[in-house]
Amino acid sequence: MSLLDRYVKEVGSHLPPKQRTDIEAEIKSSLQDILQEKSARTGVTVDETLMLAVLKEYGKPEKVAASYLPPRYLIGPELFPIFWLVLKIGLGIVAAIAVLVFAARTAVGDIQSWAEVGANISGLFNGAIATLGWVVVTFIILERFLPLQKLKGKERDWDPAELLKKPDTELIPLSTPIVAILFTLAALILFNIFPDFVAIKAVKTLTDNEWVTLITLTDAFYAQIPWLNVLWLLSLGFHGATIWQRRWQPWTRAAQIGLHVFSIVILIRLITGADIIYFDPAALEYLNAGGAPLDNIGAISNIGLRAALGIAVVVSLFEIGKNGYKMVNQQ
Amino acid sequence: MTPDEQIESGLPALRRGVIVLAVLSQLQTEKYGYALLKDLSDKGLEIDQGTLYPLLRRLESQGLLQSSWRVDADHPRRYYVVSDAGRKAIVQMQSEWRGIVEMMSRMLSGE
Repeated sequence: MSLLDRYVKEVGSHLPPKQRTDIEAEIKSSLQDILQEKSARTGVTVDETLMLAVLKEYGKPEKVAASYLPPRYLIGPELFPIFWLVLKIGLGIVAAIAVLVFAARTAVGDIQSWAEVGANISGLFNGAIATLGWVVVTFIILERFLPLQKLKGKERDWDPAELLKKPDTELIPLSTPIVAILFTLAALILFNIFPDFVAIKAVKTLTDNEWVTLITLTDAFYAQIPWLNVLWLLSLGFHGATIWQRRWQPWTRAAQIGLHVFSIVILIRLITGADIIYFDPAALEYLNAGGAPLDNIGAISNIGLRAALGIAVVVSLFEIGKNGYKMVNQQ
Repeated sequence: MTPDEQIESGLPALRRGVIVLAVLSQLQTEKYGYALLKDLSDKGLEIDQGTLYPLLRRLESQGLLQSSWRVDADHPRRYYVVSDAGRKAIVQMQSEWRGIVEMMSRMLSGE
């Protein structure tokens, strides 16, 4: 096989089989024309030296083959904005889960050395890489099989008037911080000034209006009150600042993330600590006179309460992810 | 990238815009690829093979060119010529080109 044929085959090896023969023939013909022209112009016969010079000028086989192919993307320009959005959400969720795990382990005293802190950071890094990998692979598959012409059709249907209907997501409605401030103040007053009011009571006898206390909060809960007070005071400052700002700023979003992380730590301390509600057995006995035994009602209620606090952790985590995503987008 | 380099890198893009019209205009009579390349070069438009041959194939797939293989001298050559659709395209593109030249002349003369 001559040098010319070797070159042509090498170019062909980088081309799709359907077009290969035709393009190979065209390149060979073109090279023969160049060789003939150069030979006629210089008076040198076509030999290996001339061929080498011509092929060098013609270009690297991969590059020549690439010029016949349409631009190839792993993720093309039509899908890239959606890919970027999904990647940011995915990485946000991974970061939020890592923060939760770290906060939970810190709250229960499971993190006791810098090596364990390093292991958590390494876990976050591995999770981020895995997320990146899955999102990229998913979008490569979509790029290959999704009818992208339909997306282009939708672009043509786009109406700029729709922008006017879109709500301003950066605006903070005044009602949100005002309601939050009222509830926070109520919690501060109730748990610090009137802690005795935080109980469920029932009337024992209607004649002398005697009351019996059924459920109260335990010392394990009140041990967290100093931390809750700090959280509530910080929340008051934060909501005051949002009334003043009226629009979300990167720093207000960062502050809200900080408050959510702080609340997660307190929630985890409550979940993992001792029981936080107490059922008075004598009162229960009185109310249940003649009924089925209520031995486990205290334990079951505490499990239920822990589950509710767990849901609050998940909600906070979601808020961290949402604010983190919006903060990155805003910047 | 320096400002000079940025201008240099923009020049090929400026030329690329005229290549299709230049190629179609030169293929009103039948030519093979290398002869067309020489023709364009003689008239001042330098294009490398890596640009010309894929472009010829693209124009053919769009129906603006027709091609046929023929054995000339000692080896086969593919000859290209504009199709009827290609001729119509040349008329349209010529009119667009004249409009662009007129517009740019006005802009560059500061009118």
